[in-house]
Amino acid sequence: MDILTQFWNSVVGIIEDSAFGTLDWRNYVMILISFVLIYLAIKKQYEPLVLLPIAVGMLLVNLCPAIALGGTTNMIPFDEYVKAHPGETIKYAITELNGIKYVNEPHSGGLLFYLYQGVKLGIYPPLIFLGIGAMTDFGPLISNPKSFILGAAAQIGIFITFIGAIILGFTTKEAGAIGIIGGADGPTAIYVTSILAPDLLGPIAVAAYSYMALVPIIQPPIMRLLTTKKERQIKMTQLRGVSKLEKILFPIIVTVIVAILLPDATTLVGMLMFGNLMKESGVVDRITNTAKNELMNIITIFLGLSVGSTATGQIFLSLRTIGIICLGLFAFCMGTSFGVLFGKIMCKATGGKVNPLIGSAGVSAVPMAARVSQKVGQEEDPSNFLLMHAMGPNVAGVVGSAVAAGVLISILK
Amino acid sequence: MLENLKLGFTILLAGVVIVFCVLILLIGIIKLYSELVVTIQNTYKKKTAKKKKSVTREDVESQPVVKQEVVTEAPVKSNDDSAIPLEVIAAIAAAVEVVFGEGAVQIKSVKRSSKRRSAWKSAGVAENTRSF
Repeated sequence: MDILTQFWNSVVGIIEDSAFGTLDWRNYVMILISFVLIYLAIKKQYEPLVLLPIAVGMLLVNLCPAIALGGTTNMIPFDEYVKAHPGETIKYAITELNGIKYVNEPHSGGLLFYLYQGVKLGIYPPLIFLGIGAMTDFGPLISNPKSFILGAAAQIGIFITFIGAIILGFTTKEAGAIGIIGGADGPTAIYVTSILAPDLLGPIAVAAYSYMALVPIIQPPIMRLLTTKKERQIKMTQLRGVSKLEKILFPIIVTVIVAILLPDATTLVGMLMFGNLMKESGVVDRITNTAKNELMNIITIFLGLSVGSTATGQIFLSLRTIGIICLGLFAFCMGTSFGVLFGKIMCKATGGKVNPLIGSAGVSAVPMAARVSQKVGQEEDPSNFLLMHAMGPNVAGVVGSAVAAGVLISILK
Repeated sequence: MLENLKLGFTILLAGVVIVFCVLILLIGIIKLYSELVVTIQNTYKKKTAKKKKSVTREDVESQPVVKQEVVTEAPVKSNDDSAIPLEVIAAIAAAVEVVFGEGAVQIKSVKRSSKRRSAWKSAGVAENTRSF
């Protein structure tokens, strides 16, 4: 009989420790959502490099929440510890409470907790920017610096959404983190959120990357709505060639100007421009390749997994998250709209030399947003090639969203 | 709430103005340095072009046309495995023209160098001589 009781107790203990005993319905819903994201990443190829690690992080943390928990310390009564470890030297700290001595035995946390420190401490996003800088050609922006206007216009959505978030009852810091989704720049959104509202990191990161993946679906209707057929058919003159010296000077000048005017944007802009300087100088091919390949890939894995691990059912499935998702979409649409509207203004100001479709590329999301401008332009006129013209506002958008992030951090932190 | 909204509008105004000001400043500076760099480079190009012109005129007057003769070992046949492909010959001819000037050299034949480094040796040399 004793054997049967012990067997039953063991089975019950195993079930209680298993997922069946520790998870609630929200975890199961999140597991289903992670399956949908895995499907979208693999089958539909929506930003798979980012979406797949996020989805797997989400899956792991909802199956086994301990994987993202930090280390703990067990306080074991001194006598009990000595009995259990006869003849061993005590390696841990000893504390005394109410006249009883305790041994503080530490237990390490889960893998994703340690990976998450790179997000929490703001290490991963600047390193991603380093890789982006090493991959980006700022030539189209240097040859047509007016593109910066479109890059700036697309950031207006960030600040309008900020007010929308306040109206919905978010705190000013949370509103700043939600607004930055409108920059359509994943690393910037994560960086700002990790500083202003770390609790919202999961929903904001998932929203930012989801909308970046959905650029080809979200932007075209807005672009068509705000432009006329005639405007969409405008052909732009070929950009002038940019010398190597100009390309080398660009990252240095931008870093100096931005760091002097907005010290809070220095980390992001500085790393972006450092990556670009390595590329354009042409003398450090080995570290340039490391920055844009191995380092970028490693950080993307760490970032994706740790961001996904913040999306637990208990945090993610709430009205606040739904509010964040809706505000993120609003921010993104506003950014696109203001980019196109400023494109129209530039079109009028230049006597029809600028195609307003390139304005939508001001919302970072490199190079997807520029490709969308190209695609929508070619739908009207197959012989129209807007890609290189749209790359100017696109890379200006990266600088613009980093500057906007610096503004929000400096005012709200 | 009202206080937060006030702050919201302040940030909207400040944020938009600052972002535009910083980026417009960058436009001005980029235009300025681009023009400066283009002007300097154009002046330099003109000077070097003048120098080159004077040197080549003297050279052409004083020196006879150089005739380069290279004996071929690998036959130039497209159906032979050991033959040098016609595209390679064309590329070599173009490179020689660029270096010596148009019409200054007459290529009679092209042969493979027998003292060539193996691919492994070349990779090793490239790896060790590349700047860090």
